[in-house]
Amino acid sequence: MTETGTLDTERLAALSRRLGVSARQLLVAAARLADAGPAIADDPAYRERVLRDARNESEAAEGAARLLLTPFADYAINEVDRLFATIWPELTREREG
Amino acid sequence: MRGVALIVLAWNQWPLTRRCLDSLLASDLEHAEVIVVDNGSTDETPRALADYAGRVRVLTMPENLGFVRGMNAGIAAARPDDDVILLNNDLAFTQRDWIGRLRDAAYAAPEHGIVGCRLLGPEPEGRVYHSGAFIEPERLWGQQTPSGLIERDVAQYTRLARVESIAFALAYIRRDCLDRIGGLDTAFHSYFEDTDYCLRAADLGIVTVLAGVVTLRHDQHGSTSEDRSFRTRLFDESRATFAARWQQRLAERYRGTLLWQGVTRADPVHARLARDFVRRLDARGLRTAFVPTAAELADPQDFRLELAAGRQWSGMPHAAIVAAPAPSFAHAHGRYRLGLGISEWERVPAAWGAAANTLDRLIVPDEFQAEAFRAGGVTRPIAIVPLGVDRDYCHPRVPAPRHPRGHFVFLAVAGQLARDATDLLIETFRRTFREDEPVELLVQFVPRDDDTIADRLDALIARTRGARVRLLHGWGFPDHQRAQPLAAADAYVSVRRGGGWDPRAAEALAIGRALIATDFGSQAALVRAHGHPVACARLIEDAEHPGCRWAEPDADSLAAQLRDVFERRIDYAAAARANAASFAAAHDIDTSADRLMEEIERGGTFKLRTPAVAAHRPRDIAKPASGQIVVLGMHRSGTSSVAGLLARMGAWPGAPGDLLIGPDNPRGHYELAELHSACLRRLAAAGGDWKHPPSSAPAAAVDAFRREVARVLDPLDTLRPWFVKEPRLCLLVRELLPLLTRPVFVHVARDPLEVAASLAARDGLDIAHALSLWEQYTRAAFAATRGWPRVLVEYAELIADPHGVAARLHAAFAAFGVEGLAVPTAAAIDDWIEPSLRRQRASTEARAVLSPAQRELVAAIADRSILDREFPEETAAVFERATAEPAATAGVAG
Repeated sequence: MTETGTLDTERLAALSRRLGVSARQLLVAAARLADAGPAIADDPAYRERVLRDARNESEAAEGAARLLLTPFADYAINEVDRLFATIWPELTREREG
Repeated sequence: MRGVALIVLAWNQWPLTRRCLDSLLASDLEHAEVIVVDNGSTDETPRALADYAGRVRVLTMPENLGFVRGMNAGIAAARPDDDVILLNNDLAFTQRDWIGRLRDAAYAAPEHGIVGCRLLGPEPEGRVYHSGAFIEPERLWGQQTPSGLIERDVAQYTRLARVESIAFALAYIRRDCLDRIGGLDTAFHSYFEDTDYCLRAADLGIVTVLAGVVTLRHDQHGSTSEDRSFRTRLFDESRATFAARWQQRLAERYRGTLLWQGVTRADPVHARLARDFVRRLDARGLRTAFVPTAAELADPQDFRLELAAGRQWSGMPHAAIVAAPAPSFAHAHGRYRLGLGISEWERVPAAWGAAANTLDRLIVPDEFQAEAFRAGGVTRPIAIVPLGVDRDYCHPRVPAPRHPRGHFVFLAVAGQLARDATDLLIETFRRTFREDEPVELLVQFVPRDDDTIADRLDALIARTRGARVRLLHGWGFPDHQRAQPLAAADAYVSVRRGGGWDPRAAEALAIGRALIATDFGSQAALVRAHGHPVACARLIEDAEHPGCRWAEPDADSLAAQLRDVFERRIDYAAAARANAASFAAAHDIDTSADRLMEEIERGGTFKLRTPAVAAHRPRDIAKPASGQIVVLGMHRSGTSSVAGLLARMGAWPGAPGDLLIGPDNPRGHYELAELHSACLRRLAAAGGDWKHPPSSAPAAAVDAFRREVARVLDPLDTLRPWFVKEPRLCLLVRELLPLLTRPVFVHVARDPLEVAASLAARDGLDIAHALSLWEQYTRAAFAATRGWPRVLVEYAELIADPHGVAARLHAAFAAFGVEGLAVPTAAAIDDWIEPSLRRQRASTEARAVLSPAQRELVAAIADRSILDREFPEETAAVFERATAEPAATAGVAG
């Protein structure tokens, strides 16, 4: 993320390759470092441990993360009324009329 | 006549009380007295209530006594024999006949004592806040709906159902229940007193029911909404009192721990099993814990399933069920290990078979699945547990929009493209229907992580021409709304290659929609019996599972079925609707849960069931009969003879001018003309008559009948003991139970062949019809009076020994506490009972025409075991059989 608020994907991809972690693992590690605060995050040993954890995350954690990253719509809970108002808009117009 | 006291508790909040009273007074209030308990209001309530003088009785409490004491004051003020209905002042009575329907539910069975109803919240779109409650022992967090969720109103729980408890925001309590339990327990101030009352009732065999046919509006906590901290304090205090009394007992109801190993989200079929069964097994006394078999963000949409997911257990669970693809069977973790197996193929892979062989028992939904697992090498015992539908959510009254221009709508579901053959369906559908035809195909995607399906199907639609196809992609619905897309369609299409169980197939039939499905796999038997089967062209290999074969639906057969269902849509729709209720009754998920329980219990690892408490009977209360006597018996059974005997004992039959005298019985029937007319009108209003009893009746006809009969009985009530007699009451007496105060029923039974011969002579009925009517009247009468004080008089005995019968009758009345009767003089009896009355006598050979059920009934009357017999609620079914039974001839001696 740059100071202008845009995501520099090329730099993210390059850094992830350099450190041997996936882009998502890198973001997870960065989030942990950010949460830890600068006093701890600047400790090289801690940074190395966080990166090691990110590389070795468990299968369950990986699965959970994958679920979280699935498209929003798959798990959106709508109500049936909204669906039919969308596909058969005349219904809504009839009710309003 | 006996009525009902409506007790409204009010404490400030006058606008709510006014809305409550205005809507209450606008509903049908026959034989109801409104009592408002003003619980020390300090706002305008006391002054404003004065405007309702003459319409309500006001009890003014000196201070706020709380819900329990306030209600108890109202109960104490009610007329001593009246039933009571406890009402919060934040109710709105949006259904005019609500009292009548609660009465029906209260007297539908002798053990019913407490009745609640569905309560909606204030939202304009309708949300169900209460549909029967239960409480779990760990956190004592009472749930107000079976799922524990506030659900959109989709007409769920609209049947009569036994529940653990109800919210006393509205509670109909029968007087005999009050007589046994008394008022609410003053150990509670507010909160938990309702659950406590229902649990205490259950200890006495009194059942709490939800009358789902009644729906009212309730603003939760309206009466105390102004003071949140006050409410919290009340809640905490009552919870502590409840915990001390019930927590240990509730925990001890569990017979052991069952571990359910499955999923709540994907795949949807196994998630369906978890949602359907975890709550039901837990409610059946198995403390059910849940662990996922795959990484998932849990989506229980069910309180008990959520609770199960957080439960711990020590040691090995008493049993485990794995409801997941078969490879997970090997991880079953319990002393008795079961798996719920579902295969898409005609034969499961060997690895699946090996995993299933690690179980103690494999459960499958049908014979196809059993064979698929056997063919895959399963040697462990396999039990078939048919999987039914949830009738509370899947029925023809599920609300749903219909196509705005009346187009015929097919619905299909897509999850896996290869398995579900969605591409084949879309291609065939577009080939079958032109663009200008009024027909549409909706393809609903179930949540999955394969986005490419939609892209591929979009491309398919783009390159073909034909009637409209819509892909419903990216939509997820609360589980309780799952029937609505089906209800919005006209036909459900499950034309799949895979043979796995598709729960929507049965749900569509239960809703009353046409079903088109491949004649293969778990849907084959269903679609052959109830739907429109699509032929299987051949078996093909599943590319993802080499060696596993499933069906390739025949495209021409599919096209023919789509076209046929569309062209004959009116006929098929009528047939599907007509079939829905009986189909659902025969495929009930609760029956499936009972069967699953049996299979779980086979392991012998759970505690034995606690013997059930004896069911409550109104005749067990310690109060004497009040002197209201109802004579019940089939036409031509001698009810007039018994009635005459009662009159000679001193029971009042009504003013002579009000009694009928007919040509076939010139000495009188002892039938009140107005009662007779009311019975005629009631049967006619339901589309029948005495020879063709209707199986059900419009609610308005029942209410009108009660009104008319009450007008007849009111004048009698000042002259107790009295009696009424009308043969049609055999069919209708249950509807009168709310009006009667500790009545005694006199059943008069006569040999059915004699009755049939008499009806043949008098009315020209054929023997089979007459026997069928005898059976219906007899069953209905004994079923309605089960548990009430009753006595049986056999006509043959009456003729043979009228003096003895008169003495025994009198002794029975005395034992029930009826006062004011005397044994008639011998001369009076001899003058009334003539042996010549017994005109028809049946020969022994003639009994061959009786059906086994009729013979069983005759035997139960002869040995009097009928008086202790449990009658299943089968009256309606018996009625339906009436004219369907084959004609038979009978030899009857004149």
